[in-house]
Amino acid sequence: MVVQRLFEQHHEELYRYLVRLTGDSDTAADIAQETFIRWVENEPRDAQPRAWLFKVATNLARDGLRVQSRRLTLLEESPGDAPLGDAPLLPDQDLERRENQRLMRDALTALPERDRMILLMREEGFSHREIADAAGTTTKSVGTLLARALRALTAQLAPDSETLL
Amino acid sequence: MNIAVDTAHPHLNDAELVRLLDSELSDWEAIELRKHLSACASCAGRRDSLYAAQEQVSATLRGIEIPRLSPERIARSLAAVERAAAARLKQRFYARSAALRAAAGIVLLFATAMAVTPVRAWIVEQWDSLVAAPAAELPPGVAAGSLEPSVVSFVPSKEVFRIHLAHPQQSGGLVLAARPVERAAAEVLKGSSAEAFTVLPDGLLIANSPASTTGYLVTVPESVEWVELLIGDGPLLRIPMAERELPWVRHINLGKTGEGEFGVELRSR
Repeated sequence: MVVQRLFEQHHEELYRYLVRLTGDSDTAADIAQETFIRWVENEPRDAQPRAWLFKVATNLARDGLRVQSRRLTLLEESPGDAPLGDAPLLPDQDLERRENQRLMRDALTALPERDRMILLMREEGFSHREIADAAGTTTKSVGTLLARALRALTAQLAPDSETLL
Repeated sequence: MNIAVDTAHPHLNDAELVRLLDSELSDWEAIELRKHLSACASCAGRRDSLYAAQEQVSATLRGIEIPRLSPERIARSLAAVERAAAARLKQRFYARSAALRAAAGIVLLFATAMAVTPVRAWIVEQWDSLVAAPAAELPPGVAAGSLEPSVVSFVPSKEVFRIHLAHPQQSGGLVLAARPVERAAAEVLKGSSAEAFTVLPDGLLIANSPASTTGYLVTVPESVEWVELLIGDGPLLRIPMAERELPWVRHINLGKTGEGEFGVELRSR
């Protein structure tokens, strides 16, 4: 069955994206399920499936976040996990890394919803054109929005820095 | 992490640098940008800083734990999607069945009606009148196969029927026919079909061009008492139709006269 194959191919990455976007795994699972149901109901034959799914999921997440006024918090890093493939860190190094990660997570959480969505979609490997379609903007604007999001992140991470973008 | 900028000599903007890093530029654009970056330390520094920021974002996101869904939860999601797919399939099947049932009903109704003699006779009469429309009067030498697809048919609202050609033509003719019918008709007999017919309250406008060589057939019904012919800004030609024996045909030459001027030469059949 076609939808089953689509589910197997894209459900995991869609769920991961939604967890990062909404900060809640249950919400992410529900939205992912609803997104595939929308696919079945709409049968978008001419669309790229992956881009279509992410776009619809983003809209559903955005509507859900507005309606429920959900406070977004990115999930905490799992304690004791080291990035795969890295050599074990010394305690001080590990502490510093965790602190930097926490700062970055807080900075991502503080981003406007659209900026965060654009960063996350870029992280999932979408082109600027696909990101623009999902965000409801132009392809040319995506570069500007990405740069602005990165600027906002760096400003949050180093507010006292004398050199700013 | 710092992103430095030299505000005194701005060069590449952030959007361009991001597009370069994301391989969103054309080959030519990328070459031009890289050429600038190799010569501009300031922009190269900003590119490096943006790249570092992107890498840090990626690393942070990869470090965020994504709670794994249980196999049961995944199976429940898939089951819900498959139920929706089955429901959609059933919906489409029933919609198609309803259309087929409606079509079958119409066929059954028609077959039943045909079995009733008065109804059958009425249907046959309507069909005959549809297929047996009067044939257009053709001038000698013009074969039926030369008829162009541009055709209009209408019921004139006045006793005076005006035919207005926008311009005198290079050559070609107008066959004016009067028949014992109720509807007026106009069609291209030979030549191109670029000329457009426009039905007006008092007749017909033929949007031709001075270079046109097209021949036309205009049929007027028996209700018309006068036919007026106007070509461009030329004089109005009035042809009385009353007390003429129908069918009646007049061939009007739309090309130049022997004197080298555009004019109308009337030739009766």
